[in-house]
This record gives sequence, C-alpha cells and structure tokens, in this order.
Amino acid sequence: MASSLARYKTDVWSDWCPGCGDFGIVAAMQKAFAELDLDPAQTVIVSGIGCSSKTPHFINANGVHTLHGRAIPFATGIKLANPSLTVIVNGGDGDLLGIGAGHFVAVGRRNIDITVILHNNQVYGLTKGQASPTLRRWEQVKSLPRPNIQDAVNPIALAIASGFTFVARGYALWVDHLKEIIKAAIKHRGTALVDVLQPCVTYNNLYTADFYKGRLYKLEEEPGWDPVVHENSIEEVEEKIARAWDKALEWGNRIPVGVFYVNPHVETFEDRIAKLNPLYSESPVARQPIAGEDGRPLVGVEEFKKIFGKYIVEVERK
Amino acid sequence: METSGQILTSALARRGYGVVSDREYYSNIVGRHSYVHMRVSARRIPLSLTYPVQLAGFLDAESVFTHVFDIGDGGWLIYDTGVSRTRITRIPSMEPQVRDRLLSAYREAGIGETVSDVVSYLEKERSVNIIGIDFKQVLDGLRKRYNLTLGQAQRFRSTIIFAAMAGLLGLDPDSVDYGIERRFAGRAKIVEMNKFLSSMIIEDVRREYGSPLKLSTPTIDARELIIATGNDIVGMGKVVGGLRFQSYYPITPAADESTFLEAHESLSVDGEALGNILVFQTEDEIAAIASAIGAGLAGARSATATSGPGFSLMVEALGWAGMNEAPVVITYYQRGGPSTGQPTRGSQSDLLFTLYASHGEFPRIVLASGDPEEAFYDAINAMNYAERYQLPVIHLLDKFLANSTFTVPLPSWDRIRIDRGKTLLEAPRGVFKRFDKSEPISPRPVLGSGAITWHAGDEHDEYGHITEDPVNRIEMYEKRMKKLEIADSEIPVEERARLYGGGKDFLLVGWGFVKGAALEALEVLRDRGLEGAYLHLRMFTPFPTRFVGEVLKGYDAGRVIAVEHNIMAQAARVVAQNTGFLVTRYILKYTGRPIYTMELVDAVERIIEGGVEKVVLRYGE
Amino acid sequence: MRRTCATCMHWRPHILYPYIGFCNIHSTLTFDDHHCDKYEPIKINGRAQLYWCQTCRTRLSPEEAKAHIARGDRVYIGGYIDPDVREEIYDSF
Repeated sequence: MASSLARYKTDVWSDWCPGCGDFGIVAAMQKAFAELDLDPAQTVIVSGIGCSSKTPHFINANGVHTLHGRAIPFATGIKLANPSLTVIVNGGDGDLLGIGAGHFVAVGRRNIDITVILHNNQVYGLTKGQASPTLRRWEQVKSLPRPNIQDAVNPIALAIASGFTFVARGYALWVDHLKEIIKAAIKHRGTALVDVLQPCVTYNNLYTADFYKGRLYKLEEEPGWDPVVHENSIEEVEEKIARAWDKALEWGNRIPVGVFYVNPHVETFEDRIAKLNPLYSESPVARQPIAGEDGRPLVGVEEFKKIFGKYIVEVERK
Repeated sequence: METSGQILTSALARRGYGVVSDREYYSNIVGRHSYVHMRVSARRIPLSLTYPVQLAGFLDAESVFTHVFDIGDGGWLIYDTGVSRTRITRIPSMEPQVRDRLLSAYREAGIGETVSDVVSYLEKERSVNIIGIDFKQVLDGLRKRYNLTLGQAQRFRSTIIFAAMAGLLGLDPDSVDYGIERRFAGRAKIVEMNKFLSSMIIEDVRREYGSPLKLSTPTIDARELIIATGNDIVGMGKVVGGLRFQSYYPITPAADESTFLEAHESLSVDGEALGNILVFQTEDEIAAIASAIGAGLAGARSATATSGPGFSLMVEALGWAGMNEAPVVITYYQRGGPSTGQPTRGSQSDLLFTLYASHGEFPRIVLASGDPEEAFYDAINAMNYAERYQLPVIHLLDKFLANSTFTVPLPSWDRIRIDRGKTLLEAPRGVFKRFDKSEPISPRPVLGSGAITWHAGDEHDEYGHITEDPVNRIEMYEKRMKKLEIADSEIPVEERARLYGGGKDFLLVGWGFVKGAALEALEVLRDRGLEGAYLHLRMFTPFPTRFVGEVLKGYDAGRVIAVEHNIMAQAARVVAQNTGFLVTRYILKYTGRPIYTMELVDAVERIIEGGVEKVVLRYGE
Repeated sequence: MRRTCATCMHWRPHILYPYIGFCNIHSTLTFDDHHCDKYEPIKINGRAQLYWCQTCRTRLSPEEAKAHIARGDRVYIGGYIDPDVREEIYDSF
C-alpha cells in the first residue's frame, strides 16, 4: 500500500529559484518514497554542498547535509554501520564529479547498496554559474567570461567503468518517469546512479527545457532494449556494458533517458563483509551492545585474555 | 632484527623482566639500515631509552659502522666476521651525510675504514669485548646437521644474534625456547631447529665467556605481561572500549593499528561472537573521517587512525563534526613534518595544528598519551568523551610510542566504564529536535532509532534545518562551546595533567613519549644532587589551567624547562596561553629520534647549573 | 677468476647478505663459494636489459654494467630478494 505523499514533506520553505529542476527531483523522490512506502525514520538522505544538496531539508526523512564532495563517504559510513537503513545520496555535478569524483569511483568499486541521485545541470549554481564537470568543451553559459576549455566527464560512462550495478538517467521535468527510475534504483541491491538532467533556469542558457524538449527519448521505448544482466555470464555482462556504453556516448540531437545498465548479480560490499564476518549480517555494528547495564565493557578481563592471548606472556619465575 | 628483538623480549618477559624496544627504520621496504634499541629492567617496566648500550649485535657491516660510538666502554659486541674487510666507503645504502660525519669522527678517533678496524678500535681503545662469529660457517653447520637447504638454513641468521645475547645475559634456555615457540607458533620444524641452534650457541657463549651481563633477579610485580607496540595497545583499548567502526587510509606510522584491528574484527570468545568491528579501508583520509562520522551518526562507536598528512586532509570534516555535535575519534600518530617530512621518525610537532585545525570555532578534546598504559585508557576515554560531549576527540600519540614494543602489565578493569552519554539507540518515532537548545548537550538519537533528524554543516536550528537567524546563531554557537566548559568541569584533573616528584631545583614540562625519559632523568639527577619534578601534560583542551597554574607558581621562571620533540616548544605555548606563565628554558629535539635519558640529564644540568637557556638534542642515528 | 657461484651468471646474490644467493639453474640457494659443472662466467651480452650491481646495490643498463665490471664491482644479471624478508622487516606479535 502506497502511503500519502504528505508523509514525505517538510514545512521547510524551499529557496530554490522558481522553475529549478530540483523541484522536480524532490517531487519524484517523494512520490517514489510514497509508492515504496519507505519508513522516513529508516531512510537517510545524505547530500553534499550546493543548491541540490539542500534536498534533505525538504523531505521528511533523516537528512544529513554534509560537505562539498563528501556525501558519498558519509553515506558509506552510515550504510555500513547499519545496512538496514535505506540510504540515498543527492549531489550536484560539481559535487559528485568534480571535488568528489574519487568517492564516486570508489563507491562503484564497492557496490554498496546506496542510491546516488546526481543533479546534473552543467553549472555551479550556488556560486553563480561557473562551469561544472559536465559542461562540454567550448560551451559558454551566460555567466562565463570565456568559453569552457575543459572536457566534460560522462557520468553514465564513468559509473559503468567504476562498477555501479544500476546506471540510469532521468529528466527533472519528467517527474513520473524519474519517479519510476528512482524506485528501481532504490529497490536495486548495489550502488545505483540516477543521473538527472535538469535545467538551471538562472545560469544555464544552453541546456534549457527547450533544449531538452524534442531531443530526449526513452530507452525503454527503443525496440529490444533490455539493460538487465539476466544470466550473469561474462559474455552477457560484456554485451550489456557495451550497449550501455554506446548509449552513454549519445548526445546532441538525440539524448537517451531511462535505464542503461543493471547487474543484480554482483555481491554488495555488505555481502562481502558478511562473508568474512557472519555476525555482520545478523547484527549491524551500529546496533550491537558494547557494554553491560552497569557500563562495564562487554570485553572484560577474561574476554580480553582470550581475544589477545597471543600477546600475553604468563610470567614464570625461576 | 625484528625476530631477534621479539624472541628476546618474550624470553625476558617470561622471566618477569620489563622491556622496551624502539624500532628505528627508514621509509623504504628493505635494504636500508634499521635497528632495534632495547632496554631491559629487573626493577620496573622501562619507558625510556638511553645510550651507551652494554650489548650490541650486528648482522651487517653498516650496523657496525653506524653504531661504533653507541657501545659503552667494557660493553659487548657480537658481529659477523664475514664482513670484516668491508669498507665504510662501500656501503651504498649509507647516506652520504652519515658517512662523512662518521668518517670524520673515525679520523679523530684514529679508526680505519674497515669493519675490522672498527672492531679493533673498540677492543683496544674502549675495552669492548668482541664476539666475532662467522655466520656463514654457523649456517653451513646447521644445514649439514639438519640436512637443510641453504634457503632454510639462512633464516637462522637472527637466531645467532639473539642466542648469543641470551647467553651473555644469562637467560635460561627454557625461557629462550619459550620465546621461540611464541614467535614461530604452529611451525614445529622451525621451532625445533631454532631451539637446537640457540641452545648450541648459548652453550658455546657460556663456555667461553660465562654470563658477564647476567641480569639481576626481577622484582616487577606482574603475573602476566602484554607484549605489544603502542599501535597494538591503542587497538586493544579500542576493542575494550566498544569500537565498532574503524576507517583508515594506509599511512605510516598509524596503519599498524588498523591492521591489528582487522586481525581482530571478529570478537569471538570460546566460539561465541561478542560483536564485530568493521575495519574499512577508504580511498583517502577524507573518506576515512567522513565515513567514521557517518557510522557514528548511525550509532556505532567509530574512529579513524592517521598521521599528519592524513589529518591535514581530514580537517574540513573535523569542523563538520564540531558543527553537528557528532562523536568521532581521530587517533593521531605524529611523525616528522611538514609535508612528507620523516614518515618513519618521531615528532611532537602537530599539537598546535590539532588544537586549531579547521575554520570557525567549535569544541574539541585533544588528549595525548605518554606511555602504553595511558594509551590504553586514553583510547577508551577518547570514545567516551566523544559520545558524552558529542564532539570530535583527537587522541595524540607519537611514532616513538606507536612503533616501540613494550612489556605492559595487564590493565585494571576497575577503572573502565563505557559512557555513551545521551546517545539514544531507540527513540520515539517522528521528528526529533536533535539540537534541542534547552541543554548544551542534547539527547542524540542515532539514525535508525525511530527518530527523524536532520544535520547540516550550515548553522542550523534545533531540528538541524538551515537558519541564518542571528539570535539562533548566538544560542547554537554558545550551546556548542558550553560543552567544553562542561567537559572541563567533569573530566578529572588527574587524567589531564600530573606532577611527578616535588623537587624545587627544576621543573620539566613535557608530554607524550617525553614522559619516560623525564621520569628517569629525575632519578638520575637526584643522585647527582638536583631535586626536580616533571609536569606531564595529557589534555590540551579543555586545558587543566588551574592545576598547571598552581604547579608553575612554585617555580622561578628560570627553573621551568619545556621538553619537547619540536622546535617551537608547542606545549609550552599552550601553557602560556592558558596560564600566562612564560616558559623560557627549553630542551628540544627534532631529529626524529627519541630523547634519550643521558642527553636529557646532561641538558638539564647545563640549564640549571650552566645558565644555558636552550639545548637542542641530537643523539642517535 | 675462481669458478664459483660468486662469478657465475646463473647466480643472484642475496641483496643484504651476498655470501648466499639463488642459483637459477638449480633453483636453490647456495653459498658464494659453491661451484658446479653448470658454471658460466658473467657476460654482458646485451640479452638482459638490466643488470644488478651488488657493490652499489642498484640496477644497471648493459653499458653501465660493463663500466662497473671494469672498475671491479660485483655485477650480476639480477639480485635475490628473500620471499620471506617481510618477517625480518616488521611482523608484530
């Protein structure tokens, strides 16, 4: 049973520009949460810094608004300490692919079960419109004094190369389509990327709603498109990655949105830890007792001697 | 050399002796000069090192050349006669500056350039007793006796050294066998061969030399001794203290602690799992502290371990923890800086950095350990403080403490309590004022507790939502800082500073690993007619201002001496800032090597009796 | 020149204790004064692209190797690193 949308709203007033794509993303998230019936108390939204990173304050669920570029490592600590939480990262393109790009790659290597929602508008909005890592070379959005001379990073391709096991793209103004992608991403066990194209109405005069209109098309409407790895053979994985890669490179007159690649067969980081340490899957480290009622540590002197026996010498005088 | 040191330490501990051994090594993997410098005591657990040594054992020519002046008159030297003809000018791994300095000292002392020249100098001029052993011949004998390949036999080089030493020290073969069994547990053949070879060498040495360095009967009151490095001890403290999440990025000299914890991730006792620690190797130190803070928000006791370069990267997140009243422990092993500095050498030059790191003003606790026992309790206390006061805690150690091996009596559990303060693992369902202003320390429901909370690095209201309201700003700012006053009023002063001795001739003021040398120097100086005291500083914020101020009042400025491993006398500056007392006498060392007792004694005399204001120590290669 | 391991091209000296070394023909460690019928004197024939100077404990190009030999250094095709050398570096209890 889906719960009411109101359950996921806060009464914090949003100070985003009117028409900002972030509104669409928040709306899609709230709808997705409602349809998934997520428990707000067991859901954590972690964000970095930037317009998009204010997102947690507008959603009624735990919110952790962190540092520029560092949402992923904060989220990683939260998720690993308590894997039963649903953890979602919101960040901008500068945040996740510029200052935080190393963490973006690292989370993919681990396949931790978190969802990364990338607010991709090609500019640094909050600092007044500088070029972000997704702005292409020689493009000049309105507040740039000269054209951008750095190449763009391709979020879809980078996610695939880094080991993300769910890679998708949505469009901020197609709220219901985006909602479905976010739902699939949250349900997926493993690291998921949702790259969300969004106009920045104030600073990006190139990638406007008009630009996207007519260029965007849905992958799922392409005949025969199936991004999911079903059998998990090496051949199948290679084929699915190759097709996703081709789609990732498409830009210009036709820009795909939808799910690019899904591999549900890769063990998550949490599974890998549990393999080494079976207790981990039963009892998250964040929930384990560490002391008795009286405050005495669980590891008392006798336990200490057993755990560290090989460090202890019994003195035997002669 | 590691193996020799470990086996000897185990053998000595088995018989109730106290041992400390400092490991000095270059920042490389293999092929440069490294050595273990040990101190053995029958009377107490030694915590300091000194020169000259009475007994030296060398595996190669470079060691003989490097340490010729470290051996005391009438001492003992064990070396490989196979390297007798090696010249000091043909040791490629010796740094040119070291060689030049040694060569000029050799010229002054009339020593030639070969190992045999050095040995004969020691024998004739310094009455050092020489035991030359042809290692190749001994290994060949072992090979034949056990029908070994040379590949197997050559492993026993270090056996020759520790066995000869054991013989000279008069250690009984059983204790040596015990040391061997501990070192090579589970490798029966190696144990057997080591025992055979060592007993043969011990016997040979005894027959020829007796036991000239026989140790007196130990009087240390301990039925059990832990043998561990400072890194290990901190790891043990964290395990007892309930650590559940440790993140790290590999760095010297901190990584050994995380590796130790990784080996003890699963806390099983008699097949029953008491819990487990998640040790997480991150992509960098930023991710290390960020994930540790995240795990702390979720309710796990969390820490990260690092050194200077790593902490430099953590600084922004440190401020986030301060702003969000998030508990996190940073175990900080100081090494020589700035920049890469001296990765494998010790230092105490990061105190001021830890006190002021990160922009803005927020409360933090900075504490420093001076010996393994302090390090153990501090590791536990650091986690208690972090949760009780909801702030970042920086636990400072130095490489000397981290990488030295100690015999440590079993700690007392009477003093150990887990204090999680107002941490709520379960909370009422629904929106919760995480930063409730009605008290400086608010209840802290963890993520997943049932509460819904927000956190933000921006200034925030009681719910954790962003606000720039000036009145809220004042209230939140003061709420956070007030916690430091509470910590100041609650944390017992004896955990923050301690005065050893009461003599009025001088007062040493130091911290960290300086403690061992300072305490021993007090005794030596007392025998020489100077009665002094040592003020050991352990917590730098909140600083024990009243206590330290009272102690300092009892001394003339000219008799108060800062003893530190840095050039700025950083702790003395913190003293001045908090108490207004200006320290004007200094004994400083910044070579990266530990302060040795004998040089400290000499420096105190020069200041107190010779009128010198500052002494820079430089002993040790 | 004595026909022992110490001057044999099949031998790789232990980089720290060069009185022992590894024989590539017999796949075993030997002392430097050992000898056998597989002995071949070290030649810088250009087949190996890097050599090991035990005297200087460094890698050499063929040209450098020739120069080092000319001045009396002990040059080999390679050095031997004990696979268990880690135990001698640092292995906490």
